Amino acid sequence: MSGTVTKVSGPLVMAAGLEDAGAGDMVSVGKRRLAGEILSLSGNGAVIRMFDPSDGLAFGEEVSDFGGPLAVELGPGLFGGVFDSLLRPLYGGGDQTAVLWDFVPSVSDGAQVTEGDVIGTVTEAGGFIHRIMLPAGLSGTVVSIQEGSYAAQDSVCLLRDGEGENHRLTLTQRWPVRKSRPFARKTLPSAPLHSGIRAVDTFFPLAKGGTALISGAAGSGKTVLLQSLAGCSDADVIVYVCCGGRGNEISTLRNALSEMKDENGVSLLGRTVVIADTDDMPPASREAAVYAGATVAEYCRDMGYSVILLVDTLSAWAEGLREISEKLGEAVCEDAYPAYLGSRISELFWRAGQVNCLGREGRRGELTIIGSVSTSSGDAQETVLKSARRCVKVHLSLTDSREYPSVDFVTSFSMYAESLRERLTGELGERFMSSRDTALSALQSESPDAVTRMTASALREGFIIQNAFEENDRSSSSARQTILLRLITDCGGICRAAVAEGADPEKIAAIRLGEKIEKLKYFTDAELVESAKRITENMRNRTDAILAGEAEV
Amino acid sequence: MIKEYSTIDEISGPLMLVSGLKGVGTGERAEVELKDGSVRSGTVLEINGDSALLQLRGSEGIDLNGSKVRFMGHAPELAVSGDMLGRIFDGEGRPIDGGACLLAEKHIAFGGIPASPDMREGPKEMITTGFSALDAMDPLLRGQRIPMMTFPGIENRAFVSRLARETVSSGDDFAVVFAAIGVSFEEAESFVQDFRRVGILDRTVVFETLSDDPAAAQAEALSTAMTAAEYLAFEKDLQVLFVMTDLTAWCEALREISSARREARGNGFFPRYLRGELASVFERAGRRSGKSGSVTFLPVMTLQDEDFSGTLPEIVNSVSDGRIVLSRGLARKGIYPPVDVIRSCSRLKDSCIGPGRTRGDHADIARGLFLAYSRGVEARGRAASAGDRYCAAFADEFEKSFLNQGRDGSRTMDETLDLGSELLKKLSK
Repeated sequence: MSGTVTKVSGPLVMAAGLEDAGAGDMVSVGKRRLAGEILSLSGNGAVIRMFDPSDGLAFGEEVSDFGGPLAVELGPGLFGGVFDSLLRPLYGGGDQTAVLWDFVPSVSDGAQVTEGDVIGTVTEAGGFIHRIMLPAGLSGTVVSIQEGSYAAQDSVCLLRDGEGENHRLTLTQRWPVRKSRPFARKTLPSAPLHSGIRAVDTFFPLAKGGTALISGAAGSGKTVLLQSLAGCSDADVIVYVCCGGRGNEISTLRNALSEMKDENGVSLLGRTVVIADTDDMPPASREAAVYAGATVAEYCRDMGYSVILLVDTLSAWAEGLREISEKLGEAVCEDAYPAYLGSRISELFWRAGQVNCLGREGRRGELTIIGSVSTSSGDAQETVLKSARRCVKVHLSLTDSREYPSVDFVTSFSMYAESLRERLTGELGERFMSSRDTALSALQSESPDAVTRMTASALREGFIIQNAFEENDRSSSSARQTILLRLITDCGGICRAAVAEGADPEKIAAIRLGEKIEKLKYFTDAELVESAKRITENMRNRTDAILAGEAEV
Repeated sequence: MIKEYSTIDEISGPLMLVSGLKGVGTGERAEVELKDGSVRSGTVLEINGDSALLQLRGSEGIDLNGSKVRFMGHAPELAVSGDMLGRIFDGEGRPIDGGACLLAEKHIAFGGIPASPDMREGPKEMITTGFSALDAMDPLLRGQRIPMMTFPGIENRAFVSRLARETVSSGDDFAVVFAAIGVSFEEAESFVQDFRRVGILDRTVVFETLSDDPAAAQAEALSTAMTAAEYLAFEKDLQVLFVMTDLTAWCEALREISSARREARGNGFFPRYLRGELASVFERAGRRSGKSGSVTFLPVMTLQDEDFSGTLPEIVNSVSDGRIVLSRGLARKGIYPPVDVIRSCSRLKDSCIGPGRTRGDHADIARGLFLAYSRGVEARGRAASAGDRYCAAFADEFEKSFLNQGRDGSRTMDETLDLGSELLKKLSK
């Protein structure tokens, strides 16, 4: 089935002779076999949006139909790599099809298997265990399966289905990116996602399988925050979609992740898949990158892992949608975004969740989706932000205060603080939760008194601000967060008690708690416990001295 | 009668144009069969001469030559029965809870029939919710149409399910219809679990059309659920509370369809007929003369912080009997329920309070509290003079001891009014 190019207009191409092609089919356009997708079909021909730049494409060049929707190949080789929106390797990976993978079967000949069952594993270069699953819709008896070295497209297993038909299974499977991958059952997120970022974990907790949004103006630290989430959170897999933005960011991310090591000394790059689609690529490609990312993330979720999909930025994605929509002359809404912007964003976030995976092992997987939105010149009412904020359970709104992380405590929220409260209380203790509530109300107080002001500034300097470049402070364990938070709220409590007994609030505030504890966060765990004790003691002595002074007068 | 055609002229996104048709009507259900035998469903949006514009649930893989379109010959209908209680359905009324098929007592077209004004009876009977913010200030009435306007980041589920429980707990002739439209799985599922927690799920009919469903399905789901509510209220004589979330998502689904059809659009790019569409849903709730049942309509509507006066709230206000507004400021302070009594209003208040209904001093207490609180909130910004500080202190006290009841607190009408008059007495001292 093939047609010919009749018109080329930037990212859109018109072609004739494709009447038998389906809407949404992938096509290959021209001599250079550029990738495109059929957007609409009519008697006048097909409208195709291009994933590759259409420069140099000429009238009359051939267009051939692949006979299926936009799909990607999922299999070994994803981890540690950087890919474009069609999962083609970007960083000089060379010909991936020739790479051999050591396949270890986990079922034997004659085994009965159903869709989603793990039939074997492959260990990726970075040490990641890649579970090879039976594609959705297939079940039957294993005729033969053998350990060995295979290329991605080699047959590793022969399966006979219920109707007696044989299927050759390879290490890879194809999946159409716009369709979410199936699971047995979706359930409500039940576990917090530990991010190592104190402001997030303590005040605006994330959940495994939940949704979150990070918004802020250019330079407010969105990307830094996302990158530390990629490096420090307790997820198994990170899928990082660089949507828009500069190519440099991708190199920075790669370098940072390859330097970071987990507790076993393994580079974090090995658990990361990066999909890059920088600003200079065609808008359709930017649109597809997000779906490719979601599909890879779901694929890893289906293996039974806890996965985070980071989309940086949703704004660039929305601009991609807008650019195509404009070219098509669609009726548009606010800021010229298409009317379906809101539903596309909510469809994307819909793919998040905690699921019971297909397959008989009863694996549980979680897909957390965290997107960023850039607000031009701090205007909080940007259309993309409006649409996205309604779809998420956590919103971290960043200010341009140049601190890190510059979370705005008034506009940010996390619904998981409420819905996971029981679980959080169980993990961190009743006392931590009440310290947390005290601290939060000090930070959000509209008309703070002197002591509250002092406590709030101590919280900011000693707790919230985190140094991404200091070994001990980059990621903060729950234990460290508990010690630091309790120290500050305890000291606040001592001061408040002193004021209640008649001490001058201004004198108490002059103790300047913040200065004393600012450096504490760089200490090792042992030093931290010691110093916290000392400072609390010292605080008690100082307030007692002030009280004694008042009594004398 | 089912008719089949293979004259597809155009496919563009979720829209399809089919020509050469006879006797196909708008709102009719259609099915598209692909070359590989798979089937996509759709609805007729528009008829123009012999061609029809269809909105599809996904157009992937449909081609011009090989695909066939079948028109089912009737507008979508809902199968109803008293056994619907305790079940979960999709937006077209098909069970999705894994339970048995519903044995239909009858089939009703989604559109319903608008009741003429002389068949209506105004709401009179108050629902005592146990929340002072509502009972004293903005009482809820049986048969009222009252949206709950909320903002991202406010936990409203527990409040809504408490309201539902207070409405339902009083007997067997009560039911809840809950429609989750255009929201996430998490949101819908949390509501269902909350209903289960407060023990009313077996008196609830749930309809779910989530955010991964196409706009057409979301737009349709509201009438489906309303049809069920009408049936339970006016044919089964039940007192029905119809909760839906989220009205903003529903309006945006209408906007999406309208944009796809390239219609002229009004403020906020919403179709000019949005008010009419909203009214045709809101007007189906209420009470009918000669019927003992009622539909109380409580749609949840998420607004953005600044657009309280924007297009949507304005239109929704004009078709409803008041509004309950939640406040992020109160929620942050830990006030529960975080009802903003200054911006909330109940247009039917006067018909249900006062001597013989609640108490003789109800109206005076409500008015006194409202005036003193709004003065106090204004004074907070200034807090210059001693008088300002005094007023502001009253506002704080009112929020802490009157509005705030905690998660499980419930007050009787007398307790609420006594508390209110006590606060006012303290103020006048």
